[in-house]
Amino acid sequence: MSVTHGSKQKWIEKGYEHFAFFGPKNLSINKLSKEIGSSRASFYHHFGDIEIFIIKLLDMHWKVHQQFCTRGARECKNFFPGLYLILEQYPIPLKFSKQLFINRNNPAYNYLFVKTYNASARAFILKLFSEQFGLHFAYEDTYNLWLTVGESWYSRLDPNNLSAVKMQQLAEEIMNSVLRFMSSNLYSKMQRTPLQN
Amino acid sequence: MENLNQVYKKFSKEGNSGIAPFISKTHSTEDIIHNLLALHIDKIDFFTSLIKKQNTTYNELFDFLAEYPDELRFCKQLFTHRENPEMNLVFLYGINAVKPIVLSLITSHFKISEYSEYFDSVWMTMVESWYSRLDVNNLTAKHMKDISEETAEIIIKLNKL
Repeated sequence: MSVTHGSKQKWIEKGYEHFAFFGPKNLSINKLSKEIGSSRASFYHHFGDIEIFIIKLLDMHWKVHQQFCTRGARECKNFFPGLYLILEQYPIPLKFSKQLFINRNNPAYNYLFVKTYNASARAFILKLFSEQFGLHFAYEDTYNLWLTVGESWYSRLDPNNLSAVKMQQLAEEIMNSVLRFMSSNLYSKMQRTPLQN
Repeated sequence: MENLNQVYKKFSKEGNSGIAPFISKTHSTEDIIHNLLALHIDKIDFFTSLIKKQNTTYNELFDFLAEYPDELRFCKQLFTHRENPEMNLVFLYGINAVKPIVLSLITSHFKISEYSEYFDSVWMTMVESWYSRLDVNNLTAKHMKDISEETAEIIIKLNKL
């Protein structure tokens, strides 16, 4: 069997999908090999071992995420429903992010999760988030609120139902409790202290 | 609320089940958690001003931390319950409060001089890795220093990515 650049790309694309659907612990070279119709030898020729393969998958996720950021900055005009309508069009990357989130005891996965979250916040989401909820805080405080929404959102996100409606509904529920907290004296106490920044 | 420090200690060790005996008609779970979070914020402010005043070095930091086991356990509870927005925001408050001090101690100790574009993400990963490794049954200065060394190695690698 000839080993081509095309076959390397096939491994990465199918591997990305498997990581997203089944998680990093369930990545199987055998299973991938059967699905793409390439031999195990081809895998070892291209990647050497599974760890290098996983690094390629993480690289791919970062590239996909950068495309998402560019598109979001260009096309997304509002937080509700705009952000969720765009997210709905990225089901596999969303599942991939959820896997990073679930497996974030691995620092490399955690780093990529935090880095992508940070990148999309900077690119366009934080601006829309601030506009939607009339937030006029410093960047770091607004980002912490958005990060808090994300913690809760990803922990409750059902990867089997990534419809825009469902994802927005989840964000609204979480935001309601965040807004309740923001109107409490506890949040004011956190804002008043000069030590925070 | 009476005995708030005692409730704080119980929650630090046992989480929500630790506060069950204190729930009453006048104190709902929500009220108790709210009071505990407020107390924790005060403790963070006190703690932060103390390490600032004492001009703590990298090595002294862990001896200092070891003197506050309840507060550390409380932080670990917040970390474990990050899906709860209130707890997450207070957890982030603590991280941000100590960030300027701890980050400068770490970067100078490990000679991490180049800040990448995503250094904030590196910092966040370091904090999360540290807390996920933190054994609340072994809050010795040595354990905390050891896990810091482990996480610093990760940082150095990630900062190059």
